[in-house]
Amino acid sequence: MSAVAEAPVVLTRSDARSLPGETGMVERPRRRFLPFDPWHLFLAPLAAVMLLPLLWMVVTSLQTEAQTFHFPPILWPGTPRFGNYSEVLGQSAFGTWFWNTTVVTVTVVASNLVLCTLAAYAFARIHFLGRTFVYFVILATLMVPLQVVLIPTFLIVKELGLLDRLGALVVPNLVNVFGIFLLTQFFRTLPIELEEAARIDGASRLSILLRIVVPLSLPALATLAVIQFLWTWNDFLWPLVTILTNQDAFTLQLGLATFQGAHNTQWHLVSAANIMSMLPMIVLFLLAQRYFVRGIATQGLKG
Amino acid sequence: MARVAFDHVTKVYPGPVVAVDDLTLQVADGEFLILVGPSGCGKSTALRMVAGLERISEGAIAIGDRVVNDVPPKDRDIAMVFQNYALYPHMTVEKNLGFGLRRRRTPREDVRVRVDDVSRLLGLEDLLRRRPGQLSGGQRQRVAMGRALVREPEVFLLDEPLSNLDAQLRVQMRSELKRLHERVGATTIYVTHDQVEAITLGERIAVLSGGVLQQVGPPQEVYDDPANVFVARFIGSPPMNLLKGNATDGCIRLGGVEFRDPQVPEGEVLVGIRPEGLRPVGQEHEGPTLEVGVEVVEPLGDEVLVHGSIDAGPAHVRIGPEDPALLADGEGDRATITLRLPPEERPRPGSRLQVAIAPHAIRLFDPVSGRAIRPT
Amino acid sequence: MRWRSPGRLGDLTAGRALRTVDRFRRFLVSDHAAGWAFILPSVILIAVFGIVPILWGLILSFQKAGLISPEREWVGVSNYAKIASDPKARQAAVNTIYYSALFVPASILVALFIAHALNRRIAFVRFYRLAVFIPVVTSTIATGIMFLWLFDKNYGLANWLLGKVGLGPFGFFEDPNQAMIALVLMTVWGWLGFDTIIYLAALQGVPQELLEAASIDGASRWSSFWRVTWPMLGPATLLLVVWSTISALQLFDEVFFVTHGGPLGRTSVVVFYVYRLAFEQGLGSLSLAGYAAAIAYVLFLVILLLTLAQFWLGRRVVHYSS
Repeated sequence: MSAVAEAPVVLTRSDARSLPGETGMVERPRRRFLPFDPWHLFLAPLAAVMLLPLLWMVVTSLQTEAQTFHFPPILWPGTPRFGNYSEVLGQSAFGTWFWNTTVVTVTVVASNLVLCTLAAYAFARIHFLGRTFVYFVILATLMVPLQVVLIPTFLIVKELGLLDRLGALVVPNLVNVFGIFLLTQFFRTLPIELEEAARIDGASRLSILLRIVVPLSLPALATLAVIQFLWTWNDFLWPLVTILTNQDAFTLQLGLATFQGAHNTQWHLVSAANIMSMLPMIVLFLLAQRYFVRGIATQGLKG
Repeated sequence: MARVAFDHVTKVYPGPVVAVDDLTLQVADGEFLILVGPSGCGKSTALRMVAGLERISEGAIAIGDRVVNDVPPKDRDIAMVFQNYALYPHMTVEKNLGFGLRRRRTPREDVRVRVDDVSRLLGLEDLLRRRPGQLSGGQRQRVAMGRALVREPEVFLLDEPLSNLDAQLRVQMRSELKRLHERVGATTIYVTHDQVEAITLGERIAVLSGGVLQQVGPPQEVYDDPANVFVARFIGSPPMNLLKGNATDGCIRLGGVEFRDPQVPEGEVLVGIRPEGLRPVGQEHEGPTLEVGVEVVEPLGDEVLVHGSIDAGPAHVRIGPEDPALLADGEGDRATITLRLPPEERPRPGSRLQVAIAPHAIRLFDPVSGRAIRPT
Repeated sequence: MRWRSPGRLGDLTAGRALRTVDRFRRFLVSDHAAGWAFILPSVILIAVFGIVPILWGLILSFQKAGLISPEREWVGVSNYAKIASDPKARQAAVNTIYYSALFVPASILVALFIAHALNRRIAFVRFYRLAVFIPVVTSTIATGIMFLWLFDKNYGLANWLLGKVGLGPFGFFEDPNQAMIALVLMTVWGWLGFDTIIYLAALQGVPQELLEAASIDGASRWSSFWRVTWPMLGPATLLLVVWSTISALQLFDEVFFVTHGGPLGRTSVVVFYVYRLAFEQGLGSLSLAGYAAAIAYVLFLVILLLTLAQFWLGRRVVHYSS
């Protein structure tokens, strides 16, 4: 079932309390002036305002250039012009950008899943020399904002010879401290008896991790994957800084920004490019809403 | 203070689930009425409808002289003590107590006086500056009661207020509650699943099962004269023994024993006997006796419970949705019964007892409807 | 299992020192080895791309350094001193504060209102939630493009709609006085979903019984919310204030892409200025990487102090229910 944005906490109490209309408030009998809940008068316009930029962009992407230069704006182009999309694909390296971003994102997400799981399990369950100290130091790096490390990391990447290449986008992001933090907290909530039983049975740490802990952690891993995917896919600053001249290594965001710069009055094309760039994340969001919401709530509450 | 009246009150949840079914009940002004029954019997729902926290599907509830179906909780002049206390965690005890009064714009001086009075009454004076998180369970419970008392409402509603306390504290609070009611004398409706609490606390108890009112009356009356097998088995611990008997010609036959009862209808009849209505006797006893094969002996200090089997069938009656575990024990043709003996008598498991039945201790029930067969 | 005779058992333990090989083998299968094996790849990566840059950044801030050129000259604290006399730095600071002062309260208060509205069982609530949350997944560039078009001075939908109610036309991003406010509107739009989720989760953590008790105690809906619900939202509010402030102070993408610091430098924020110094001006012959690093570190310090202050203040005001 695809529940829309399921909040992490159960919405209602499990015994059926019939409160038509309200959950967080006590029901009060009142006369109805309107045939529907008055909050719709706020929520409906709000939804319209939130969706307006997107919808307007879709409309624009289906118009001809002339139609876009019409004022007052034309709200519906009559015959939608899908040709804008193919024109964008033809006139730019959109495919390359898309491919690059996919490769980078998938690699980073996969790498994070592996490395963060390993490290988090060690921090959560294995007592080893220096554990507390190392964990503390690692978490401390989360406090440091991006702009502080921006220049030095650039220099390091330059020294490694990765500048202007996809490697610059992948290597520094192979492990994300936030992911380690998230999974460590999660692993600690699992019942330790399961792992202890396995140790008595003679299993090694690694096989306990793979056969017992990971299967129980799929929701947390999915959440991590989804957040990391979002961050990496939408990242702009880092590609901007490290991919300087090599157009073949442009990511989607970078390419989109350049495209808009090059075609900045051709809104029919820019809109089409924009819609195409947003679709993957929107589709992912619709499919995995639950994990997005959980991810954001965890990001917030644990932060 | 006021009376509370349920007039054919029904509550239906989507499903459909009938939580309360055609409940008609009066609570007199100043009375302490207890709603008791197993989980899911509708007692809490009924209470919440009086509070205004649940809407009434059918029927009407009146507090005092007015029907309150559409009146919001804050205008009903009621106070409620929740099972989990529902104390405002970010306010001190003093603020918690005074919250309701301040909401109603009571002058600050009055608030202080009333809060002081109530905290003295409940022994909370030293705790006024603390927060609920810093209090023990028993203290929180008293603050919850204090919050209700300070409002001096027409009706007090208590929803299983003692169930989260440990056993000793519970007994202590029971007598405190009784004392409070005697002192304050307000109309009180109290919900519990614990029949011991019900019998000790209530002026009248109302037994519910499956949303239906089974019986209402003073505790002793409900204990002595249950209206049906459910009440017979639910009230009283250990529960009433329920056995299958056969009646012909005004004579009830039960496991080798006979009783005369000229008014009993022909055919199968359920015979109920409370554990204290059975007495072991010697061989020389005249009159009908049952032979009991002793199985388990439970010494309780002030008495001994003996569980044994007899040569009569247990009554397996299924009436309504109540817990079948309440129904009689035993298998096939041998029922398990329980006796109460004085502490010095301790039969050995495996031995056989001759047990006499006090005739006035027998209660008869219809095997189909479960209703008590009362002498006309 | 057969017990070995006492003699042999004694041989194994009494008196014999374990050989080095045995101890090494013991270590390999021990927890210490396992733990380090599990964390090693991550630790190496974090050391190289996390810890080293933090320290190197600090060193850079005391140097006059070039980004592409290998120039490194030690200049002590003169970079930091330069910040005080740099009018562009001052402008960046003012702009950043202005932005944060608008963004933080606006996004939090609106999100609270929305979360309250969404915390109920009404028709279409799933649709409403979807609509509020979707902007969170759009990238900063995508959002920037959408709003550049929406706010277009001549052909944008915004001016047309505002015109219908008698307002405008506005210059939005092209007007020096409006550009920052337009940026606030755009970024609030993008972040509302995030804040709303947090508040929604917090609202649902308020026990139903408390509100029932308040209702019986005579509280109206407004005072129920204000005196019972709002205090219990304290932790969430504190969190959002801290989080939003940190994000606001680090604004970059939108400024770079949509206004590029203009018009007339009115939207140039600190991180943007750092970027310009290091990666636009500094790529040439000017060696400004050190100076940029110094500014970055000052911002870091400000964020750190501000966060600590907010937490300290928060601890005193916010009640964490047990």
